[in-house]
Amino acid sequence: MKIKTPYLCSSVVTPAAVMLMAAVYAANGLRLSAPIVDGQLTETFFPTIVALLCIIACIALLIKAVREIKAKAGEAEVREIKVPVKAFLTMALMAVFVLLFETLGFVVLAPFFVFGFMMIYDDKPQQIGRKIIYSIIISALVFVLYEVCFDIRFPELWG
Amino acid sequence: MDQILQILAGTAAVFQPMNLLYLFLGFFIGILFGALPGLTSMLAIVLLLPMTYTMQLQAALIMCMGVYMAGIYSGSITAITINIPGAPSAIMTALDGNAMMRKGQGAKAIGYATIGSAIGGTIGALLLILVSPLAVELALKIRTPGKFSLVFFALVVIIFIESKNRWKAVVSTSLGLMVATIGMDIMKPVARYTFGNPNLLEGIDETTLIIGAFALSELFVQASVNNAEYKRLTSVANSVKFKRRDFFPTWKEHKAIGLWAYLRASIIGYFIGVLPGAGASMASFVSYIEAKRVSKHPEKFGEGAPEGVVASETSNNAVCGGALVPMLSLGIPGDGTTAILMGVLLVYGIVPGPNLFVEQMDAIGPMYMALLISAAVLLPLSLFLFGPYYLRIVRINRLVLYSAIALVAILGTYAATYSVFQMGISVLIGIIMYFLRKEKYPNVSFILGVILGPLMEEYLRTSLTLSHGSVLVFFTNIDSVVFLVITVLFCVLLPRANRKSEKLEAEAEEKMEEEMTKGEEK
Repeated sequence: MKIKTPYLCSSVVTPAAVMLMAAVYAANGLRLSAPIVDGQLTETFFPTIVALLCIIACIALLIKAVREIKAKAGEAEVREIKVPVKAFLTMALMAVFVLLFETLGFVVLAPFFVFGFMMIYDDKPQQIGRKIIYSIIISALVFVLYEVCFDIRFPELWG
Repeated sequence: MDQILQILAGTAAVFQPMNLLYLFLGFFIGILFGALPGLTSMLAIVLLLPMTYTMQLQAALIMCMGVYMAGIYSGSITAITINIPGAPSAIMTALDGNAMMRKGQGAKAIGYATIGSAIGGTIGALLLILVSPLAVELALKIRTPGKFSLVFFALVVIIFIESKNRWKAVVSTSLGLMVATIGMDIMKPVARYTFGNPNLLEGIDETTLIIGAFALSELFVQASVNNAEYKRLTSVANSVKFKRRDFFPTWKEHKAIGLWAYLRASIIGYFIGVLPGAGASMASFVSYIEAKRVSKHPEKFGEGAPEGVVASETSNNAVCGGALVPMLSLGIPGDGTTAILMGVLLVYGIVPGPNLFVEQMDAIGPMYMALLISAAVLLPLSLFLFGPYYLRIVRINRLVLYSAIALVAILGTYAATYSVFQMGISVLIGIIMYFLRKEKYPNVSFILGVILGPLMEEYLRTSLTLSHGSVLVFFTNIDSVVFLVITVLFCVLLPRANRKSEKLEAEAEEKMEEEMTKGEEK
C-alpha cells in the first residue's frame, strides 16, 4: 500500500493512539470523583497522575517523531507501507476462536484453529493432508494435557 | 542461620520422585524453549502458568526453576552453532561462540558455555540462599513510606534501563499501571474504569495480561517470519555433529581462563539480577565489557575468545539467583521471568514479601534448592548425556510447534479464569502489545507496571493518609530517604553504563548481520 502523508506512520500513530486511550482513561476517572477531596486522596488520584505521565510521554514521543519526519522531508514523498497481513490474519483467527469458543466448544473448534494457524504460518497453502492430521493430533494432545492431566473442563457443543 | 538451614532442608522435598520429575520436565522444557529462536524460557513459564493452578505450589515452583535456569543456558546452543541466539541473553555469546564454531571449536564453545552457566547458576543460587535472609530482615524494617520509595525506585530503574527508548518505557509502564487500576479500588468499595462492564469489576486477571503481553503478541510477531527462510537459517544445524569428548576444554585451556573469570562474571550477573528490570541480557553485556577490559588480549574478543563465551554465559545464569532476591523478599520482580513467577505465587494467594519466609518456607525452601540443583545438573546432563542431541531441537517443525503453542496459550487464559471475556481481553492485550513491540515499546515494563502498580498506589495512599496529605513523609523517614537517594544515583549512573553496553550491543548485532550476509552469499 502506498501513502503520501508522511505523518501517517507507526511512530506517530502509536503514541497518538496511546495518548487517546490515556485521555479517555483520565476523563473516565475524573467523572468518578476529583483526585483530592477535602485534602484527602481519592480513588482517582493515582490513576490520574499515571494517565498524565503517560500523556506527557506520548507528547514527547510525538514531538520526536514529527521532528524526525521533518528532518527526512524531501527524501521520499511517497512511502510504501508493509501491511503485516499474516499477523492480522492470526489476530482475526484468535478473535474468531474466542467468539465461537463457548458456542462450538473445544473439540469442534480446536482442530480448525490449529489448521488455520498452520495455514497462516506457512508460506503457501501446501501439504494440506499432513496439516489436517497434525491439527487433530495437536488438539488431542492439548485436550489430554488440560482435561486429563490438569482437570480443566472446556465448553463443548453438547454442553 | 535458621532460615538458611530451613532452605537446605528443602533438598529433601526436591528429591521426592514427583518433584524431581517436575524439575527435569521443567529443565527440558527450558532447554527446548531457550534453544529455539523466537521462544524463551519466559514464554515457557507463561504457558505453564495456567497449568500450575491445579498443581501443588511446591511442585509448580520447582518446575519453574528448572525452566528458568535451563532456558537461559540453552539460548547459547543456537547462538554458537548457527549464530542465531535462542534467547536475547545469548547475543554476546554468539559473538565469540560462533567465531569459535567457524574455527572448528564449536563443541568446545558449548563446553565453555555449559561450564560457565553451571558455575554462574550455582553461585547465583548460593548467593540467593545466603543473602535472602538478610534481605528479609532488612525488608521487615521498611515502613510504608519507605515501601513506596522502594517501588518508585524499581519503576524508575525499569525506565532508565531502557536507555534508547526511555519515553517508550514510560508509556509501557504507565499502561501497565493503568491496567492494574481497573476493577474495585484497593481501599474503598468503588468500581474504577470498568466502563459499565460488570465483567471488569474484578479487574483483569494477571494470567490474562501475561499471556496476552508475552505469548500472544509473540505469536503475532512470529507470524511474519518467512518459514522457508527460517528453515534455511536453521538447516546449518543439521550438518553439525558433536562428540561428547569435544565439549571438554583441556586443563591448560581452563587455566588460561582462570577461576576468577567465572567468579567475576557470576558476581556481576548476580548484582545486575537484583536490579529491577535489568535481566540476563544486560548482565551478559556488562560482564562481556568487563572481561574485555581486564583481558590481556582484548583484541581477541569477537574473534573467538573463550573468555567472551564464559563472561556472557556465566553472568546470564547468575542473574537467576539475583533476580529472585527482590521478588521474594520485597515483592519486586528483578526481570520479566520473575514477574511471571510472582504471578505463580499470586495464583496461590501468596503475596511475596518478608512474610513469605515465615509463612511459606515449605514451598520457598525447595524452590531455592531446585534452582541450585538445576544449575548443578546442567553440567552432567548437557555435557555427558544430552548435549549432542540439543542441536536436533531446531529441526522441530515450526508450524507444528507454534500452532501447539498458540492453542495452549489461548486456552491458558480460559484455564486460569474460566472466562471467555478474559480470553478476549488477552487477545486484545496481545494485539496492543504487538503494535507497541513493533515500535520497540518494552513489554517487560508493562508487566512490571501491572504487578507493581497496586503496591505503589496502596503505599502512596496509606502514607499520605497517615501524614494528613503531607508529602514530607517521604523525606523525613530515613528508609524512604535512602531509597530516594539511591533512585537519584541510579538516574545519574545508569545512562553512563548504558552507553557502553549499547555500543557493544550495536557492534555485536552488526557483526552478526555481517556473518549472516556472508553466509547468504556463500
